[in-house]
Amino acid sequence: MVGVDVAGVSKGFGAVPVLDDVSAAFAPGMLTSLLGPSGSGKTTLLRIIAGFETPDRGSVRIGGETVTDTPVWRRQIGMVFQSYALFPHMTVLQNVLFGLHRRGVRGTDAIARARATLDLVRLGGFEARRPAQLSGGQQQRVALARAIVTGPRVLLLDEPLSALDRRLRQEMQVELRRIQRTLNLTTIFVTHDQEEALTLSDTVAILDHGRIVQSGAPAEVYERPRSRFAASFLGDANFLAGTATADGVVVSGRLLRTADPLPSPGSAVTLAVRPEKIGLDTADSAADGNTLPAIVQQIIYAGAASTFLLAAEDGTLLRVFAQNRDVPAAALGQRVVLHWAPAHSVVVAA
Amino acid sequence: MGGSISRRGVNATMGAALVAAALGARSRPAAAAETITVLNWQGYGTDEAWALKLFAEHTGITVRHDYFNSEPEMVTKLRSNPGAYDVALINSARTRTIAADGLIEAIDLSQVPNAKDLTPALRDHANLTEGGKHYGISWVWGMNSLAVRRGVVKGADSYAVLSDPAYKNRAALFDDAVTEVGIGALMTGQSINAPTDLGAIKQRLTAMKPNIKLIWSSESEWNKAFVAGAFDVAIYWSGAAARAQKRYNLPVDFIVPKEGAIGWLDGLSVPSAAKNKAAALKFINFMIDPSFYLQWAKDAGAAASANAKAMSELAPDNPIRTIHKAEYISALQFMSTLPDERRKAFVDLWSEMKAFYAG
Amino acid sequence: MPAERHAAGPRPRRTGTAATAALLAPTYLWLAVAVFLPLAGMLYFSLLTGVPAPHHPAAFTAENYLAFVRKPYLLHVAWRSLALGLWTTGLCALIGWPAALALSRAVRGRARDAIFLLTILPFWTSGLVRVLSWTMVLADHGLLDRALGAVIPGWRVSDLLYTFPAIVIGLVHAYLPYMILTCYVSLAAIDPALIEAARGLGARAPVIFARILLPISLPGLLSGAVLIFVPVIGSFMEPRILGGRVGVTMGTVIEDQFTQAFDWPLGAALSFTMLAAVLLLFGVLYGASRLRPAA
Repeated sequence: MVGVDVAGVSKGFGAVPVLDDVSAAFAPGMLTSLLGPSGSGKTTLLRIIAGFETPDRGSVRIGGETVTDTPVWRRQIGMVFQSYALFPHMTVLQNVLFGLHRRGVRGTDAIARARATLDLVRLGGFEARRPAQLSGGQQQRVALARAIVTGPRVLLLDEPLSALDRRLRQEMQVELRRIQRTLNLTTIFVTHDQEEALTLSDTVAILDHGRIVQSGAPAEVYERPRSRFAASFLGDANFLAGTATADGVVVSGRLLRTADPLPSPGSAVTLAVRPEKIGLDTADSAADGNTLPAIVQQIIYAGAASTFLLAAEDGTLLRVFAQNRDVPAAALGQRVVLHWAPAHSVVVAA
Repeated sequence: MGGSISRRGVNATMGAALVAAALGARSRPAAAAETITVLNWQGYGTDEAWALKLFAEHTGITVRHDYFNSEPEMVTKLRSNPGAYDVALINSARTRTIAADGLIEAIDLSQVPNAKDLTPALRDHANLTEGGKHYGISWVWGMNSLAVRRGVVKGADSYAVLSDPAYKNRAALFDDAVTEVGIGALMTGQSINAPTDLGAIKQRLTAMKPNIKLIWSSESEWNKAFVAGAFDVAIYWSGAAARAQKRYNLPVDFIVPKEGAIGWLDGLSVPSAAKNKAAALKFINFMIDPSFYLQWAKDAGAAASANAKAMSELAPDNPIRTIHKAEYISALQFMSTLPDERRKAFVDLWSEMKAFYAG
Repeated sequence: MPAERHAAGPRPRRTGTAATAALLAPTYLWLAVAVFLPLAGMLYFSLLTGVPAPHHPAAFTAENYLAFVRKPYLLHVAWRSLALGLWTTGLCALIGWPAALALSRAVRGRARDAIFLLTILPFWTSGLVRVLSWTMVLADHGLLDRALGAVIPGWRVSDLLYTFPAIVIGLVHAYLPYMILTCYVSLAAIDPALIEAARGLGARAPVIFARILLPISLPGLLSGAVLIFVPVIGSFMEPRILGGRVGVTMGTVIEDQFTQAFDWPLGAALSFTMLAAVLLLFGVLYGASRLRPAA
């Protein structure tokens, strides 16, 4: 089990900067997601770690060993591509054997290992098929088997599940996690799907415009986003802009409390509140928590839960996500009072 | 042509004067507005525009042409269009066969005044006559023989140079079965039209293999390769050699070696069913007239004339004259008709030789 | 109430077939007139003793098909044609495949368009003019010798024109674009991710060439080979002009029959014999490619 470190990595394509001084540590044996919108640089970072691109500045270390100048074929990585990149003129077995042969493992030894890995990805019996004869999910698993059979130090995946339908994707997410845990393989996983990142990862790293804006365990990153971008990219958030005081933040004349440290009184502050943290009530409770009156504008009914779009007094649109315990929790046009705990007000950088 | 006096214009005027002298005073066009049709290769003398213009002015006879692209085509046209032609150009090799088919008629030489100036050996050649009568008027002739690079090849007097080790890889042959078998026949003292020992010919041709660099099939191909220095000795056409000397100043000498050379002779004949025979004879007479020939031969574009008088009036340095010496005629074997099986045998032999040279 | 004029039931499929036939008809008509009719005519000729003429009626005979038996030298000629085909195809593959690879991988945008244009430039010129200009380049003291002499005085390649290599040079120049284009199509279709995947698995350039690029682009190589081999074994222009006395191939022999010897039956018979040989070759190759297990 080895860790991966990148330090000060910057990369530009022509005049376009793609990665800007990125530093990160990927813990050994853990699955880390690189999450971000397109153009955020996540794939580039992955490719730099793999060795398909060289950084303009900075270094990459695998297991403590600097590999920035090591060619791809010596880095002992396993890579799964978005398009799977299976060799179309070879059988499944030959695809999986390819990496083994390159490392000098041949003959019955190699075949035994290949078979074992195919069993691990639950494709035993498919050895003689060609990629064209496999379904998307099966091809995906062959790509995975091919990448891990050589016992790489790091497994890199570039949006491997984006071509699959929802059900298959969920199945594969579970499979992937199981295999990764079984092998204790340090894994880096690029995705733009935040749900996927939350489900799979031990660590989530959010990228925006070539920088890592926040990194940590999924729950931590989700519950305590540090920036507006992180808050809105990972999940939904309501943003309330106001002014700091000694006790809290004044938003539209109301004092809202937070558990986070506040900047000096008088400075502009933005609070982020997750929609599921907010409750709807008809009356102004004298609770310790934050309250905000609003009028229901729209109700999106989704069976188990509903999303409410409300307008606050100053016109700000807010979202509330509530389980449908009592249907309906409120009616269109109704005046309600939103309430949430101070701990759920997160101070975010603007 | 803008009014300036060009060389062509001056020549034409002088030619016109000569022609006028030959044809006599301009006759009144209204008197005899006749038309004759001539069958010939395109661009082969009888359709020279200036000549036809003058001929029409002086005799009132308009000359139209029909062309053929091969001798078999000529025969077919004669056969299938009786009465369509008044004059036909026929290679002397075929004259007697065509006459035997009744397609052309005997010509009374007294009707062709210029015939008295024709070289007798050519005028009365066996290929053109039958039972003392002339079926074709000898018009132009030429030779296939040796051409060598001046200054490099000295004292060549035999086809043996083609197998002389001194010229290894420096020889070129003409891609024509009849010619090459003919050369072999000459080398072995046989008749080019009826050789009896093809084996001996094959032997001579085989011996040439180390020398042969290329086998040419057109005048321009020969000239280009010669200029590029590809070969020093070759079989070539006499007329082409004259053009090579005059137009391109190539250092080529044309030689009739001691074994002799292959000759060809073209004649003008009158089809039996022709409609305007008198006019046809007038035209033929004009064609063998020196005044016509001298103009035609000015830039060495013409073949050698069968009219000795005409040849002697050529400029002394005109290559046509220097190459086509009258004394050569006796050393020539003229091509004549080949029966089909013999022609096939020649072709087979030559095909085999070409494959042999390649391997 | 509509009258029961039309029979109940599904409309017959005739309209579909009629439309297809109508669309195919011009092509088949063209094929019939331009290809099959002349071939049939030639087949008829090949069985005659000679070209029918008014005084020479022709009889039927199979003699012409025994030409290789009657004239054994034709076997050498056929072998030379085959050798030309193999050399030309081989050299075109050796030069064309790497060129196509470079074109598909290493060159982008404007440069690629420019190089494409240059590749097909030979097609824009008359084939005859091209071959004739080769005579100028390859002749003794021609352009090649002069270029070499400009680099190292006195350096010459003597006697290159009128040899077998000269013919091959002319043919490779003429047919190389076919190979480059077919290989390019195959190679350009290869997902670049395949190569990266191979590198990630530890493969270096030689392995990538031999195990990935070459096998996947094999169809391109094969179709290029066919496009080149078949015309080359029948070629007569390059052998005649560049080959000198060595330039005797099946193509020139057949051409001779039609232009010099006027033995159309023999020419036709030789042509059909060659056609049969090529079809046989294809049959064997096709059968062999089917026999191979899906590996």
